[in-house]
Amino acid sequence: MKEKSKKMTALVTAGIMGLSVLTGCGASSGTGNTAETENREEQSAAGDAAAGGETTLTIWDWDSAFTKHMSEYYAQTHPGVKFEFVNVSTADYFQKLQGALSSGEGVPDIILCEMAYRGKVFDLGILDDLTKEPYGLDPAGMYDFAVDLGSDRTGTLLGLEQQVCPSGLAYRRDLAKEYFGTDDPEELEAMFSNWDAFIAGGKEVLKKSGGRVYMLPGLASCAFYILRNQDPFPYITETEIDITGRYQNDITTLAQMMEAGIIMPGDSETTIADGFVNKSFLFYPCAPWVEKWYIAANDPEGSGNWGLMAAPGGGYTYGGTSVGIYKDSPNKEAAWDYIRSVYCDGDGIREAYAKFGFMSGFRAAYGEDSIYLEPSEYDAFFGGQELGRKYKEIMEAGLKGQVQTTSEANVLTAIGVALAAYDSDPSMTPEEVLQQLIKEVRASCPDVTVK
Amino acid sequence: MKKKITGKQIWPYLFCAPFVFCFLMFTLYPTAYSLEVSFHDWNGFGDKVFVGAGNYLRIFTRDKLYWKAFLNTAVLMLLSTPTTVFLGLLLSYVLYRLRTAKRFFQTAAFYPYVITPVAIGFIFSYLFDWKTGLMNRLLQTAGLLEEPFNYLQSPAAIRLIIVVMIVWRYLGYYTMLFLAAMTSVSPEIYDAARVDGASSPQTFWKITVPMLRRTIVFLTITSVIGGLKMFEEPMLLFSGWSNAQAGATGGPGNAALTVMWKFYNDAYRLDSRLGYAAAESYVLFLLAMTAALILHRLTRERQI
Amino acid sequence: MKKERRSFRPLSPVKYAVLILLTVLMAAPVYVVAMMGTYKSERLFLGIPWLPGNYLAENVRTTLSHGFLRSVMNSAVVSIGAVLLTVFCASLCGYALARYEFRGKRLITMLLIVLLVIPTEISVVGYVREMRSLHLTGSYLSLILIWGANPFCAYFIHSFTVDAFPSEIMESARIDGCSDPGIFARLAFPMMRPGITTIVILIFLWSWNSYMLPLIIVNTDRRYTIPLFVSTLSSAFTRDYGAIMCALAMSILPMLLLFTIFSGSFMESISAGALKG
Repeated sequence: MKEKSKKMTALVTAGIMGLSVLTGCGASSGTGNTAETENREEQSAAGDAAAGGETTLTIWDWDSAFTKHMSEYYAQTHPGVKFEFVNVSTADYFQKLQGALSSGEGVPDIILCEMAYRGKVFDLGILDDLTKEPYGLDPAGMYDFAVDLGSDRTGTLLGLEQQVCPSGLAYRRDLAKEYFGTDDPEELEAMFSNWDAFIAGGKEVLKKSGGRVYMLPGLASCAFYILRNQDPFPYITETEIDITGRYQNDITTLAQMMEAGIIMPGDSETTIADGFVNKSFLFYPCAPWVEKWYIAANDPEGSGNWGLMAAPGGGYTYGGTSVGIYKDSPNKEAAWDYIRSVYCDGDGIREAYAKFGFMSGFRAAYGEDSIYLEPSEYDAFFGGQELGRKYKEIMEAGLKGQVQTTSEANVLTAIGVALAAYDSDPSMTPEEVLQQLIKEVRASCPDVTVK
Repeated sequence: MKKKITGKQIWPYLFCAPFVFCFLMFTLYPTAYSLEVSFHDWNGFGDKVFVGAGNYLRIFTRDKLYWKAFLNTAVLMLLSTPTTVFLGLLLSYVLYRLRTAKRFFQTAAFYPYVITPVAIGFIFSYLFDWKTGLMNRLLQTAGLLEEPFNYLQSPAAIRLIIVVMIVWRYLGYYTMLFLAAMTSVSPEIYDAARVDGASSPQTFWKITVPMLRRTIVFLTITSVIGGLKMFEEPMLLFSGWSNAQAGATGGPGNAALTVMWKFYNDAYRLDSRLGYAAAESYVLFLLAMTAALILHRLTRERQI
Repeated sequence: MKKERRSFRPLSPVKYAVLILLTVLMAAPVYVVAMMGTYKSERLFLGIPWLPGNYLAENVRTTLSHGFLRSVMNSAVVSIGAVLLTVFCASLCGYALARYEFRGKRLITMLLIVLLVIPTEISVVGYVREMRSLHLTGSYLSLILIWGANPFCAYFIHSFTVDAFPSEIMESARIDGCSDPGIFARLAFPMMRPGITTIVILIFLWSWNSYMLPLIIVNTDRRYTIPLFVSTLSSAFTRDYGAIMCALAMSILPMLLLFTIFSGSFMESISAGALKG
């Protein structure tokens, strides 16, 4: 009897322990939350006190050279603001952000949205509307395409372009001279004013080089990227995605290029790096950021041998990153002041342009005496060409932006898949490519009609 | 039984307490929480919206990609497990009769097993890269291939590569287990076989394989359960060396997308549908249990 | 008569050659990666690097400057923590299940068996959330605690104790006046040492190689473990392919070294573990 009761006691003890573990856990999630909000309040109190004291802004960025330089530049005039950088690559950004959000810790004040995942972040509903208080931004001061690119599906402005990407084609001057007899951007633009001329020229190059030199690398990452962004328009609604209407023409043009054989096969970073080393292609899509990240990085000895021209068929935006503010950030004012200064209309934009070639999406910067007519960092690399002037020209000729949503991000992924198949099997017809794309979009968006 | 119960019965409970505590805290609670989440639509930080069996219904009725991923996983398992078992048996049979350097070959074959799977995916992503990979360069240098072959764009080749990857990783491990089991078989049986005039292949099929039945069954079951969780090798195959297009979703035709990979994509990488992903992991769990049960049934007679 | 003698002759040189070829094939991928790690990036695309290049020091420097040592440290801390926790929980529990009769024993044993077939991945979503509530997200503890209730280890120790620690010893120790914890610590634990070694090695290997949980739960590169370090190589070392290969080779090095040093007990453990499990 005694034994038994002891046994029971032990069992009950164990049971209670187990229970307390469970309830302890449930309770701790509650208390955890309160502790967290308290924490936040403390932080924001500290932020308010920062009028005379100190604020720390957390930014996640992959371009540490840029953020480091610009924040130091900003801190010269704003000694009370400190920065904490976390280096997060574009490939990991969405996942890390999502992790921080669900763990509730370490969410950055300033959130960067690269094109590949921008729509998904916009759809998470974690960014503040920049037209509302305390920001009060007037979109009328921005270029329309920049407003489109920074807005979510409801038209709420959630992000500013860290740099707009009015893009043209970078080209190798030595190869251009060899095959076209000139390396002058204006002459080349006249020569290749449309894609038909470009394709015809490409065939020549292919013939003369014995099949060794292509016009462009990267079927999806370069060629199709340019085509689909030259004339974007809305094609996604809540219930329907109109792939055919949006992409059929672009695929047809792409197929003409494929047929002519002017696109280098193998769309991957290493194949393209290999192509840079072996001079396998003449042109590369070029936005301001591409100068540093692709051209100079892959062809370090090529200084002076590159040029920039407008693409056949007009301007487009290549890549691009928007900057937004976390809606629960305790440092909204400080974050906004930094963003204004560096990306909108503060003195920071001159510095960002001179050092990195970054250009703002605000009209104010593009007047008669625009700062973009001044020299920038990579002009010398491009044979002394005034890059800013060229980009400004492309921009003023008109650009359009695609509104970014989760579905858009899914479609972009699907384009990658479908074109990868096309890349390795060029015998596919444009119709087959289109059907493949529709199939891929259907797989990733099973809840809407895809046509 | 009664005899063993003494007054000191508090100790077994105390001894079990740390384990049980960890189990309740870090296994049962999160597993139950995941189950609860699987009935909600939830992005990890916003409000949870109860959707009943909606997530499960979507998996079973609309999400073709999930079943594609499951099929991929199953095909990879069906191709790799028998291959590794057979090659492992063969290699261990050869090694068993080796007089010198047995240990050396055994150790060498085992090295891949201690390499981080992520690194294995990475290494293979380089070996089979289209333009820069070792395989194509070798074949081209040897004149066996005119144009480089784009392995990572051919669903068949992708599957084959993953199978090679798995075989490469596990061959040494299987071999070692078979060797250990063979060593426990009494040498007299082999002597008897010799007296009966059995040839080498005969000994292999008639004696070695049946004697290792238990080990084979065990390895098959564990590799089926482990195979269902396959994730990092195929993923790194597409994002390691070269960020190939379509690398995020299992390559062309999603040929390499496994269930855990899709789970990770839906929950964290490409989307943040935790509720849906939790449901996906529960469905996988049910499928894994079914597979384990079937295998158990099939092999039951001779098992202890 | 001739036949059977042939079948038991030592292997012919041809078979040795085949085995050596197989070994070379098994080793080739790692060898090539290591060799590529000694070249400058741009030179990688010019041919097949069979022999070492002259850029190793530079690539090693790049690798070190990207937090390689920190990742090794993180992995070591996590793996050692996981080993200590698992050994503590599993050895006590396995021992109790093997050597005591108590109410709830059947329940716990059943639990172990069920747990053996449940993939831990199923709890990931809840575990991540739980770590958030405990303010442990991304900490070492969050990567260690998941190993606490490892069913395999407890089950393994259970069956190992049955074989290695006869209950007679326990009874006589009791008669000598030993306390229960004393019996465990001074008698049982030392006798279980081979079994403990096995789970030490297995948990070390498994936790070192674990990828999905760190991938989801670790948000800062300060806490990157080796698998995370490897998986982010291509984005962290922007287009520096030589350094990527070098870092890859260096990342697999610690485990290869450990394995080489302990290869004997390593292989015994794993076969013991697998056969028991």
